[in-house]
Parts: sequence; structure tokens; C-alpha cells
Amino acid sequence: MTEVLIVKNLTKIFNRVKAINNISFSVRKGEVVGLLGPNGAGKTTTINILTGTTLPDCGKVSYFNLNFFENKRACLARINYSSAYSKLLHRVSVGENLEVFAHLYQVENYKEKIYSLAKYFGIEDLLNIRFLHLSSGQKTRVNLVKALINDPELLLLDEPTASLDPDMSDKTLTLIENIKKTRNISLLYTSHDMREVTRICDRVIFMDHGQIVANDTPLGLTKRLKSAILRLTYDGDDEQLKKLILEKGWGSNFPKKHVVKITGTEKDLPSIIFKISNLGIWITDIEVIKPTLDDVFLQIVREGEV
Amino acid sequence: MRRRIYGLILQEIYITKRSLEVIIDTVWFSVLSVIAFGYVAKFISKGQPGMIGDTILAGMIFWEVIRINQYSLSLNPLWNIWSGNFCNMFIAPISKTEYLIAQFIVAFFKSIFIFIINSIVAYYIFGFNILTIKPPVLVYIFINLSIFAWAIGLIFIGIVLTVGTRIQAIAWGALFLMQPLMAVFYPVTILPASIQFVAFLLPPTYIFELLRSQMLAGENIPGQFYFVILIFNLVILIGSLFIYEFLFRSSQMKGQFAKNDEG
Repeated sequence: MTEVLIVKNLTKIFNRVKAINNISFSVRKGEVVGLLGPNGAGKTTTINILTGTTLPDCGKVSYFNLNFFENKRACLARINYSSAYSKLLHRVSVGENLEVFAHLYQVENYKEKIYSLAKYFGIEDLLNIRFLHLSSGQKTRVNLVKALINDPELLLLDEPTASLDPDMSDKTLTLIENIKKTRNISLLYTSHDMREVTRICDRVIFMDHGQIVANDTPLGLTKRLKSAILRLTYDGDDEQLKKLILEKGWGSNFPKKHVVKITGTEKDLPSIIFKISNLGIWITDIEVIKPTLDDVFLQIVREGEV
Repeated sequence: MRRRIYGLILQEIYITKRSLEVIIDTVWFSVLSVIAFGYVAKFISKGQPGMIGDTILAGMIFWEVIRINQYSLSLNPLWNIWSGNFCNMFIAPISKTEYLIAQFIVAFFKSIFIFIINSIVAYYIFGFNILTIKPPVLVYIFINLSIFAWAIGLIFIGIVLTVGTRIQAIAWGALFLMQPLMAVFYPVTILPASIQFVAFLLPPTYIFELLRSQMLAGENIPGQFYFVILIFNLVILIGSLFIYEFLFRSSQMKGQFAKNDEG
């Protein structure tokens, strides 16, 4: 697959603190890459550099094999950006705002283009409404229309569902999934919501303290966490079970009567079940809770790596 | 390039159309200032020989050329920053040159529009005909004052981009700090000798002196004078372009450029 974005050894220092420390990654054509990390990890600074609003101290960014800083306008014409935090002119109507952007991106047949995109996102009735009168969900959809106005080959989405209610967030994600399917565009997506990322991203880049600490598929990342939780519902002697857990040194807790959660590696789970059964305890239900991206996130935030 | 400049001009038209403040600050405030100064001029020129009163009124009409140009140039980035749209705009493939050309065009046409309105008001209320000033001189004055206003506007935009909107009041106030020095309504010789030196560092001082000498004495000013002042003004504009470029880049380096949209 062709790479639409290549970032090499990017570093940005603010007040002697490295907001981004020598990061390198790429995004391939048609790929959806999630850029994740805790607050202050360097995600927004990275996005700002990729949109040209912040300049790096060193490093290279290439879009479509063009050096971004030497061919800024050629690159910007082929990408676009949307964020929950970016807005359009408050007092100007949605249609007028979009018309201005259509001219800035030199869109042909812009009136038809604006209308068809507005229809696709279900905002055609809002074109004559001033931007400040829209709800958060409507603003997000208008921002997505603006972001697609130039048929970008790469879309940078900075927390597009932040501040949306779960229903609107789900609808927005569905729209983003449809964009991905129908247009085969690449997406670089930042979010704090791990379920969102698991749902739409092909690959995830985890950042922490300005560095990339993991770069893998969502499944690959969760597989790196060897531990899993075994939730057993049982009938039998509690004391015997507690004694066994203590002897073996398994991490455990009893969320309610006759239910135990035991933490172990996936490999160990069969033998844990076997040993408990050997005590004469009758296991009535077994549930294996596998690690999620949330666990990966927590591990990275707390321990710096997975 | 033309399409993007057109888009930026269109944006400014939409902002103006939707903002009562802009209409008040430009048309309303401007016309009222001319009327107020017209009456002051009428009062103080009572019993005075010649066209003293007219020079005050003409000073006000031309002062508005500087103010409107600078105000228009300074306010566009502020509207975009207040809305959180500034970065959006620069993420589109526009160049700094296209942005500035669009702003210069808008500012220039706004000031022409206000100039015409003010001239009509001065003619009908005070019987002052702006066309008593020779048209080539009038155009020369107009262009020079616009150039100076753009220079000040550019520096203002650069400062806002670098330090944020906390200094936005400068958009309205900076020029008024310079107004007493520019000898808009009186000859520069009225100023204390020590301040006259500073006054002559500002191109509009020469322009307003020229305006008065034309109106009061009908003097034929040597062509070199016009040329030197124009060059002086252009040097200041070019200097301000360098300052703007430096501050723009500095804002991008410091990360303030992206932060501006956060309010």
C-alpha cells in the first residue's frame, strides 16, 4: 500500500520541554490510524504540526511523497481537518461558511457539492442557519462537511465525537465508517474513547510523554497484555477457595457471594479452572474477560509501556 | 489564486453583513465624527479668514481613511479567532500573500465607500466640497494614508497572533495614540519642538501637512516631495511586512497560532 503520510523524527520543544520527542510513523492509503494517549501526550501538537499551524523544531513530514514544509499548499489542498473544537464563523450561515471554504479549496460546481454533502450528513435544512445556532451534533456534522469539501485523500480528525451524547457519537462514527468505505480515504484519528478507536481504526499509535510507545493493530495491542480476568460463579466452600488463591498467589477479588474474579495469564486460565474444580467446588459459570484498549491505555499511562 | 482571494473577500462581506458592530464602527461612527468635527470646525472658524474650518473637516475625512483601513485589516483575524475559525482558514491551501491581498482590497474599498459617504455628508451639511483638493493630490493622499494604515494593521495582526487576543483593544486604540502626533487637525509646528521630531517619523504627518498647504495656500509642492513621501511610506509598509512575517512564524513556532482558536 502507498503511504499518504510519512512522519520522520519529528520533535517539538515548548519552553525546554519536549512536547514531541523524535516520533516517526506513517499512514497508508485507505488506512484508519488512531492516535491515542493521555492528556499532554503530544497528540494535539502532532496534529497541529501536520496541519501546518505549528512548526516543528526538527523532523520531516511528507504527504503523498511531497515535503510538507516545502509544498505546503499542494499538500493542504489534498488533505483536510476536522475537530470537535474547531468551529466556523459564528454569525455567518452554514451555507455561507461552506461557500467560503469551497472557494479556498477551489472546488468545482461548489453549490452542488455543498448540497450533496449536506444531504449526505442530513444537514441540508441547516444551510441557511447561522453556525452559532446549531447544536454540538449539528456543528460536528457541519465540520465534517467542511472537511470533505475538497475530496481529501487524508482526513485528520481530532476527537470528532468529543462533547457529543452517545447517540450522536454513534451516528457520527457511522458516518465516519461510511466515509471510509465509500471514499477509500485515509484517516488519522485522535480520541480518548477506546471503544471508538477499536471500532474504526485499523492501527493504533499510542503516545505518552511525546513519544510513541506502541504502534499496532487494536487486536495486536490487546494481545500484548498477557493477563486476563477469569470470572467464575461457583457453589462450594469459600474458605477452601480463598486458601488455594492465597497459596498460588493469584490476584483476586470477590465482587459478590459465590463469584470470584481471578487475574492470570491467558495460558494459566485452564489450569486455574482445573485446580478449583479439584477442590470439589462446582463451577456453574465461566467468563473470560479479555484485555481491552482501555487496559492498554491504563497500562501505558501507569507504567509507560505495554 | 484569484478564486481563493475571492473566497476571503466573500468571507469579509459575510462578516460585515452579519455584524452590526462593524457597520456601527465603520459607517455610523465615521459619519458622526465628521458631523461633530464639522460643527466644531464651523464654530472655531467663525470670524477666521480662509479655510481653517475646512482643513479640520478635511483632516477628519482623511483620518477616517486611515482608521477604516487599519480597523478592517485588524478585525478580520479577530472575527476568525473569536469564532475559532482562524486555524481552519489557514489549514486550507491559502498563502499569507493571498490572505493579505484580500484584506488590503477589502480595507481599501471599505475606506473608499466611507470616504464617499463622509464627503457627501460634509458637502450637504457644511458646504465643504472635497473636490476642491486637486483630484491627483486627493488620490495621492488617499493611497498614502491607506498604505500607512495597512502597515499598522499588519503589525497589529502579527502581535495578536504572537501574544493572543488579550491585546485586542489595540485594534481600536493604537492609531488614536498616534493621532496627536500626525498633525491631523493642526500644523505640526503647534507641537512642542521635542515631539515634532517624532511626528516627522510618521508619514501621515507629511500627508496632512501637504493637505493643509494645498487647501490654505494652494501651494505647488515639488514632485520630489510626493515621491519621497511615497517611498518613505512604502519602506514602512515593507518593514511591517517583515515584522508580520517574523511574528507569524514566531506564533507558529511557539504554538500560539493554533492556541488562538481556543479563545
